[in-house]
Amino acid sequence: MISRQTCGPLLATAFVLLSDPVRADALTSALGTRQSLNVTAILMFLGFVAVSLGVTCWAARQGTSTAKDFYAAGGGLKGFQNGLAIAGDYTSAATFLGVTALVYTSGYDGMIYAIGFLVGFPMILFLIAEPLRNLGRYTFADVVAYRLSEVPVRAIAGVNTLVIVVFYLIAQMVGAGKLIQLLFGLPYVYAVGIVGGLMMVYVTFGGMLATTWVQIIKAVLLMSGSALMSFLILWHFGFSLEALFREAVTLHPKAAAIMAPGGLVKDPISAMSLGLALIFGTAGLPHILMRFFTVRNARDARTSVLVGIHISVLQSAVRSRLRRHCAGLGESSVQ
Amino acid sequence: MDPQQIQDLPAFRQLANERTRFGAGMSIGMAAAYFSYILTIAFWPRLLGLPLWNGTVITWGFLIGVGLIALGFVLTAVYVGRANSRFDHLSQRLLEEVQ
Repeated sequence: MISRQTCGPLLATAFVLLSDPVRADALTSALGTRQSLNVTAILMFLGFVAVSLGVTCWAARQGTSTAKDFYAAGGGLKGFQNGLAIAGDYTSAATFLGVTALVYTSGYDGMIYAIGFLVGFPMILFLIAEPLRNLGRYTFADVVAYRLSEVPVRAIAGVNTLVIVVFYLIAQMVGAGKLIQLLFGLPYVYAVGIVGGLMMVYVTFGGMLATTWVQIIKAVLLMSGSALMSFLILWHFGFSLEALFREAVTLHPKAAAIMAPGGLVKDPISAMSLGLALIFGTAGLPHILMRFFTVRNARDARTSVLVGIHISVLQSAVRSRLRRHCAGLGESSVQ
Repeated sequence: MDPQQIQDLPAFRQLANERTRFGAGMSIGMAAAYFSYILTIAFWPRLLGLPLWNGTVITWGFLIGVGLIALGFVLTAVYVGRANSRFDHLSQRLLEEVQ
């Protein structure tokens, strides 16, 4: 039961665990209480923080004085770079840790989330991205204010944005805080404080340029990490999906039920409500919409969605395998 | 040239119409596939739990889920392809006409 909740952190410390399987037990057994010091994981984390702070310094020196520099990285990013950053946005704590844990506990229903998040991206491209870009504004509120009476529209948009971002941010901060707590053995309050402080430094000093590069680094790291893990897992099962799923079904307490919906979404109303929230929720996230202003022209904006989706597709394919395996792995360590 | 004049140009009308129609069509396609999936989960979840063939643990739900993700990618590729050729060509022609 305890090991069930650790699937997310387990994935995040992929390299550590793969190179040293004994640690997996240490991580698994100590949840709920504080974690003993995991030196490898801490060094990796500090390395990542150092690199991303370096990127922030570099971005700050490029200049973040004008609105266009700060909000849209001067509009000078390439389509491919922005695409990687979109993939980084997609692989947030919510998707990477949350969906993984969902698949781990309820099986198939976690996949609904992954699909809903992804389907939102093409919808943005088809309906919103280009008209928004063509107006040359930075946010959704700028666009609506351009057409309607400015003050009330901005007030409503501001309140809406803050409410949405607060809910979204809380989930991300809890995820990040929990992870630091697990890795460092720090009290939760300090963990959240450190993560929040780092985020503010990145954004305040580096603006969109630093944010984008941090997302790119994150996307590349996660992508290569999950690709490696998924390759190793498939290799373990002789590259047979059937064998992998069979193992997960055998080991999971819900058995064959993890291969069908119903574990989490139990009635029609909640299924429809979840479906609507996932597709339109993603399409409305302000930090995703802003990504379309960081590239030079509409062609690069389109390319970036294509690259972003391509990488996200690969990631979800890879991760769903990981999760299935994880579903089995955790239970077997309990037995 | 003032905006009203540009709006009346046939080249502009064609670009705006084609792009709106194409974008709407693609999103209707994507949304239709996605919501049929969601409605299946809502009303006939058992269908998605059926095995792909006798004796396998892999279900239709898994295949359809992967298929939806792939569809998102394919539709995006189609849109980008068409926008980069057809729509960029149309807007280039419009620009030349205006100048």
